[in-house]
Amino acid sequence: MLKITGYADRVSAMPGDAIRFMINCEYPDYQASVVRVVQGDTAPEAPPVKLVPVPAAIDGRYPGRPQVIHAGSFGRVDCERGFAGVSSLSLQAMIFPTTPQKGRQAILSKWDEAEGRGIAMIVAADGSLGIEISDGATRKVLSVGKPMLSRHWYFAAVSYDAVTGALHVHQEPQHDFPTIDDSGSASDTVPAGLSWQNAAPLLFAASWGGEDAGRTIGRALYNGKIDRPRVSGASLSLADMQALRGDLWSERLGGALIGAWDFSRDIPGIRMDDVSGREHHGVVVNMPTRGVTGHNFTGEDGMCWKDRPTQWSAIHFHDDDIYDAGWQVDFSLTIPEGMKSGIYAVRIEAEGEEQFVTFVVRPPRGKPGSKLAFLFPLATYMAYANEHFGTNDGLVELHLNRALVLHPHQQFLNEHREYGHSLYDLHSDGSGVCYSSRLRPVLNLRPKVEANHGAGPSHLWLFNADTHITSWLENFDQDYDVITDEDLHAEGHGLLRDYQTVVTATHPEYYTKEMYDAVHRYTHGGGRLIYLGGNGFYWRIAYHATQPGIIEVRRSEGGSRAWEPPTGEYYHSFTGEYGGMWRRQGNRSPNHLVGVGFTAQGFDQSSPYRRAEGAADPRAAFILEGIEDEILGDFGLTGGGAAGMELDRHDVSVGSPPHSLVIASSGPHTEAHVFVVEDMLFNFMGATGDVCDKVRADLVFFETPQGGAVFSVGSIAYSGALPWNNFDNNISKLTLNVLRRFMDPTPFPMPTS
Amino acid sequence: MAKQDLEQLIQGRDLNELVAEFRAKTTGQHSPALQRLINRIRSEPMTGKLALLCTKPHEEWRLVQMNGRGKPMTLLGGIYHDLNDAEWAIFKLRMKRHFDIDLQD
Repeated sequence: MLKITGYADRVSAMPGDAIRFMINCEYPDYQASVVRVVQGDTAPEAPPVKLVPVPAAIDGRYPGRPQVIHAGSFGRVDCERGFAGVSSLSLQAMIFPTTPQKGRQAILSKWDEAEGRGIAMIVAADGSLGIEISDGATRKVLSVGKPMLSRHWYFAAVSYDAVTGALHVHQEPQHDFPTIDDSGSASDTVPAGLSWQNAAPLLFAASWGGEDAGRTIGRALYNGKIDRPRVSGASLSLADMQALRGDLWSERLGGALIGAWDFSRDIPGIRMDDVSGREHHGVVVNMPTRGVTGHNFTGEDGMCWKDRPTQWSAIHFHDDDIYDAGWQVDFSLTIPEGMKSGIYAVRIEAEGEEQFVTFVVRPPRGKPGSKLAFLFPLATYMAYANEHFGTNDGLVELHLNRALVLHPHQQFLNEHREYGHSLYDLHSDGSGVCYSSRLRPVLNLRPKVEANHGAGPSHLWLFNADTHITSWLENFDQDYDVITDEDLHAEGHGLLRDYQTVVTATHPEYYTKEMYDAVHRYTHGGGRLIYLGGNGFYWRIAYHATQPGIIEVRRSEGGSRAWEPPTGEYYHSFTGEYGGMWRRQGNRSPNHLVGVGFTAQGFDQSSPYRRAEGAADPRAAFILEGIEDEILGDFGLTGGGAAGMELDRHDVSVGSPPHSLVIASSGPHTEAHVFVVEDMLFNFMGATGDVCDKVRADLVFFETPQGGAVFSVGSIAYSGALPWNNFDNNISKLTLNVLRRFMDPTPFPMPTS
Repeated sequence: MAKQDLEQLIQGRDLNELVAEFRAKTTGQHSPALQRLINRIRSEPMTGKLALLCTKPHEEWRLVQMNGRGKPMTLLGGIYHDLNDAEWAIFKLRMKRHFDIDLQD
């Protein structure tokens, strides 16, 4: 099991910037050094691993120390003054529990776990609503005793009367079902004047487990939604608590409120606004999902939370949410002036174990160091961060059509769920993971790592597969800058403007509007784009406006999806933008941008391309210059062919420019390569690569305005063919022909009709 | 899984031929009957699924049984130095598990 993990506070840095590194190391000490990552594939069939040591100020030995992650989201309100002199209390909310049988879960709590003291509205061990109260000696749990249904709304209310010692619990389902007895109340008494008061903050969806190095520890973590929580400093009658369910209440009830929180406010942010007038505002911790439907969602008043925010006044908390691991800093690296732009990693070594924390040195703003840029797809790496493909769903083996091979980091992540999930995973309650952060160790963003999805012999996916491209560039002495798409999102077209050519990675799948528009503007302003991958520019994502290093996806209404958002949760909480595939969003399909778009996927074996009609066009002569072969790429490190894994098809009806040329097309493919669902309205037979013509990768070229051009390969496996036979092969030559011409500033003439 | 299910999967093909086909080529396009058979036996849920843990990159894989989300996997006895041998070992175990058929190397 891994004993070294780490992360950095930023992935992209320019000379003068400092990167802070946080390391968890269970060994007494470790050696830290910096390498430039050129080739990270350890397969014997691949060129030798090339990690170039770079002397750095941080080189040296450091003491190891364990650092842990406290996962689980909750809301925190610091309102000690609000509780001053309060002894009777009422807690209430509309709740939508998603794991009512999980065991004790705190919904609203002022509870100190260390002292065992406090008061809380809970999902009790029996799955029903309860109140828990303790003065540290006398502890009482009172529950309704009728388990709640998962994924149904309930009115939940509890109270304690300090004068009489009376406890009341009330659980009322929003919908009644025959045969389901889940409505009820319970009452009991405990000593009057029970001293439950404590120093814990008021928490939603957790109890207070103390503080650890600046981080609040949530315990008794609740899974599910909370809507319209209210806390009153009095023992209210059931009728009074019913009267507080809505958004308006009498002055009498308002006078007793300690807080009433409206989660429809600041959906894109982290605030929880108190609308009681007491100003007991709070914040969410570990990024629970916002912009989710509340108990009063109708579906008739619009589908976006901006249309009618009061119907989205809920937050969905998960016991495995994680935003910022919040580890202590172990060392900091200031990027020296003149440090070459590239992909780097801090290598941590101890007792034979090795770990990497990857980062990018970009050129100073406005001062490219090369005419070529490699566009580092950080957003997509974040989307796949710590994926659990191999350990969550047994059907992945049918996806792969080969045995499931797990690697040590996946074994670790399966048992250390606190490291958080990818955008492909489900939370522990079965809901889809909408957010992914890089402020935690990302164990699959490193050289030497293997993955499930990339076929053999290399078995690479994303980052490490992308080093086939960087090693190919360096083999031909092509200098290049490395820039990240996170910087592209922030800076837009200006980041690309001065490059003659931009090369993508193998799978640049996740794009914000800003990223998409910057690339589009680049290709329409004379820029040259080489898209060396498959299934790119596919999902729309959003970045958070105030919280760095976190992205959101809403896999709305179509596409090849790991999960489906509930109705009414199709719009990003971070921005209010409609989520889903770019091809559903107004002339921004990947075909519009790069001439091809996602058409099929399969992960067992790749296939070659064969010359297509466009190969004979004089406009494409430069691409195939010096290549006589009819068959292109019948070899490779990813599945033994240049076309495989995820494939893109040229299709004018989906947006491919009519003047674009299809130079080559792949196939036939294996039966494991299956046509995508977004093109299959009714499912039908004959949709697999052995029989379906649309299961293919098209290799496409087209000219763009101002003398620019785009070259697309439409295949994730393509990069694995570049290093084959020591970079001497027809795919490598073809790609080099394209690169050389694209680096030549001579404008591409636009063909005449 | 009953014997009649196996007959439905292989539809008159000689099982020995299909086994030999898999042993000769574990990955990629298979004959329709073999593909149906392995699709069926690979449909195991994550709890109880047979899989491989890579213990030396590109050199050594160990047979494991998955025990479900979040639960430690169980290391079984097999150690392999070729992925095809590991695939074959899993295939044999599943033929026993699903059809009570003993296959020999």
